[in-house]
Amino acid sequence: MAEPAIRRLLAGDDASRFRCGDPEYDIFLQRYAGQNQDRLFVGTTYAALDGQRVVGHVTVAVGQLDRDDLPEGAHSRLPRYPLPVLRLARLAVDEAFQGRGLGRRLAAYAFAVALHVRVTAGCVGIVVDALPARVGFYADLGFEELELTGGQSPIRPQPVAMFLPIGAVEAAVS
Amino acid sequence: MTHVTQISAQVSDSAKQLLDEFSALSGMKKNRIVEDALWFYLRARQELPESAVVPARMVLTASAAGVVEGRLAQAPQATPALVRLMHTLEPHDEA
Repeated sequence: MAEPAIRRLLAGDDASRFRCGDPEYDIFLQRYAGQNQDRLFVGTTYAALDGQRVVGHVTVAVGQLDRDDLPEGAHSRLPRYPLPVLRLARLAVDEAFQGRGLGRRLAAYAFAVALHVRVTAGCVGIVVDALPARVGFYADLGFEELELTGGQSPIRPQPVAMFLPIGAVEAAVS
Repeated sequence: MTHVTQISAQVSDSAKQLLDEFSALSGMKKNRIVEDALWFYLRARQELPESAVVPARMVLTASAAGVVEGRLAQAPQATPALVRLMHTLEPHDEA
């Protein structure tokens, strides 16, 4: 069987049969992913397709890391302006396609998008909203947990924000 | 003429800096930028449930800022798992 192809979600793609095991993720893909992307321009979804049927997806958005206000006299090597990142907000695979490495390909695809954003617009790294069960997976890739005081993912259970410098992805592909 | 009113809000230094820079670059008055931003944001929030929104701005604690600072200062290194992952892409997957 041919591996599903990955590309940007299009209006004609069939997500109606998508079932990943978490209804909230299914509803997001079926109702809001296209709207986020094509009408509000606040995120982009890349779909894995078996024919016209969506069998996996990863949703990314540009974001920025900002420091909580530092105490008077404190110093930091980080610049005072926000740092641009690509946020990997959602990744899900249809139950019929789970266990075949498709989730890994979708993650790799999102990381390749981050490399592209670095060149075209600037990007110091990737922030992933990792589900608690996937924290170990992302830690193996080199991601490190971040404690946030604002901008946490609204998904429940609360994902863990994790950071990887873009240089690590460059090193992995060079 | 549309009736106008005044609001005030405390914002972070970085948000104020962005507003100042955008105003200087675009030539737009700050009150216009704030009003446009509010309209965009509130309309988006009306059309999307909170769970569908991806917050663009992430605010780091001091310790998290230290994590980011440390990682960006290091020479870039890929773990073996990351190298393997990036080689799972099919030729036609290139973003």
